[in-house]
Amino acid sequence: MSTPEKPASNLQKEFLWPLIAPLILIVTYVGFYSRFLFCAKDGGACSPVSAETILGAIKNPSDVAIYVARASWTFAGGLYLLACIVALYTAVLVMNEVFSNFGSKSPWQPILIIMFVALDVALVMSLWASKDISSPAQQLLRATVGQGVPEINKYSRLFDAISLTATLTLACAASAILFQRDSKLEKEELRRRQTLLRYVLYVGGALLAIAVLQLSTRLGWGASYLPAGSGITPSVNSLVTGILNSMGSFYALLMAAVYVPAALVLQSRVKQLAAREAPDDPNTWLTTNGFSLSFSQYLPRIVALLGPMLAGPIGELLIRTSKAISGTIL
Amino acid sequence: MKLLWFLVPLLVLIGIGWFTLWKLWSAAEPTVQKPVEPTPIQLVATRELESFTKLKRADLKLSSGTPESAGPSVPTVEELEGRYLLVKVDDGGEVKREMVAPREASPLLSDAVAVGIQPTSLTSIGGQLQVGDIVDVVPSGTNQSREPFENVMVLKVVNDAKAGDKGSGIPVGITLAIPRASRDRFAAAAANAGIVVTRKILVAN
Repeated sequence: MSTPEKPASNLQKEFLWPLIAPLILIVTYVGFYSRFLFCAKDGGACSPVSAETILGAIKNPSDVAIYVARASWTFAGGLYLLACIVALYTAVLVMNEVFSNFGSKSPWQPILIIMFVALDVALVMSLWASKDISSPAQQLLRATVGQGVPEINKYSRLFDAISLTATLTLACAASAILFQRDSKLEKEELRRRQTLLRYVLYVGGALLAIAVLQLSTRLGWGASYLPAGSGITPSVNSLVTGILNSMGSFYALLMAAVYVPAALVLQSRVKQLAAREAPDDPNTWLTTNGFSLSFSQYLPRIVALLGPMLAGPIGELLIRTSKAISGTIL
Repeated sequence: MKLLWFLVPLLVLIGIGWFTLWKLWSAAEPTVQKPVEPTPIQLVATRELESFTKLKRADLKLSSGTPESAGPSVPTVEELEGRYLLVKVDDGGEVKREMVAPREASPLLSDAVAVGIQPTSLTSIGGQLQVGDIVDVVPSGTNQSREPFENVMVLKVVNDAKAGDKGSGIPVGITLAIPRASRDRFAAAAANAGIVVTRKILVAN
């Protein structure tokens, strides 16, 4: 049984999927966000807890709790920045590897253009999101951390812009992995591209998981100003959990939107190759050449995809543990 | 020429990025002010007032607002004027209703002397006696006049702070305001056999 070979023109278009799928996801998210949550125009009425209410509830904040939360944020922030740099470096390496193989004399030129396009898109997104001054997260940080560090929300937007730049560059790298001029790729070339795509998945998954962890510590820093007995504290904590869960789910979907289409396209190419190489028994060819994946090989990929979703609860656990430790030691 | 095709878009992208970054950083961040909690309206002393000062209009004022804006829990100047203060109040200190003797006690205090009595269960109404109470004092001896001293005001009740809730509830000191004219008869009654303090039970019908 042989799979019919696709014409070269179709294969050329497939490489855009790892870029189109996350963009569709982002546009959908932005559409829903601006429709239901964006609250700059109504003066913050859509946020259940206003900055004034939060600030009014802060009485004799615990210096130890704030110190521990700030230390956690500093650690997570450093890790986040490092993850962004690693992700950008990986994306550049992957694209360089792919473009060099095409015989391109100067692969750095398209790579630089791609990176700056990603940076511009991310900065424009951050500028757009900065208009939502009444969102619960911004109000929480403004009323708490912002009293000492007024630029906290600006720093957060910059961090997010760097992270989105790295994610978009990784999506471009995944697209580059699928890009090909001729319709037939050799076995080793396909294997090499699958390995490169795996790097994109692991680095991207780790980046987005750390992004959620950093968000968790950032909001935890704000929430640490509120006294435990205050009536507003459970409401704020529940808002923080909601934000973390929604962002974790969005990041997990984003990573899936980058990886899954690329993995499916590569898998389809592998099957085409198998059909060409062993038309009678392509499945055996796939197994003997190491293209069939076992459950243990799938597991790390699944963990990487779900990482951002799991990072929120892990971040909260980290904050709770550090609070417990500081309560014991200090 | 080929380099130009690369450099021009790159410079445009860098320009867009720089402009967006500048817009992002220079955007005004809204500030948030701590909401000012409304200060409760109080009736306060305009000067330092000693215990048993007969309050005059000039001695009292509202801390803020108008009498209309003050709640029913805040006494008015007219309500307390002409009544005796039972405790010392600092300049600016709050004057509450329970710190002032009832209006009917004013004539009793205007020509009275302070006298201490032995605190017992009988003289403290089982530990119920309070400052400002108007009581009757009945001599309990056998060989003396049983004529009671009516409408006597309780000036001070000193409770045993150390005993707290574990004590008997009997105070360690009681001071009454006795009319000057009855001073000697009261001293004789108290010295001979003792006294019993009674208070009318207020019942709601």
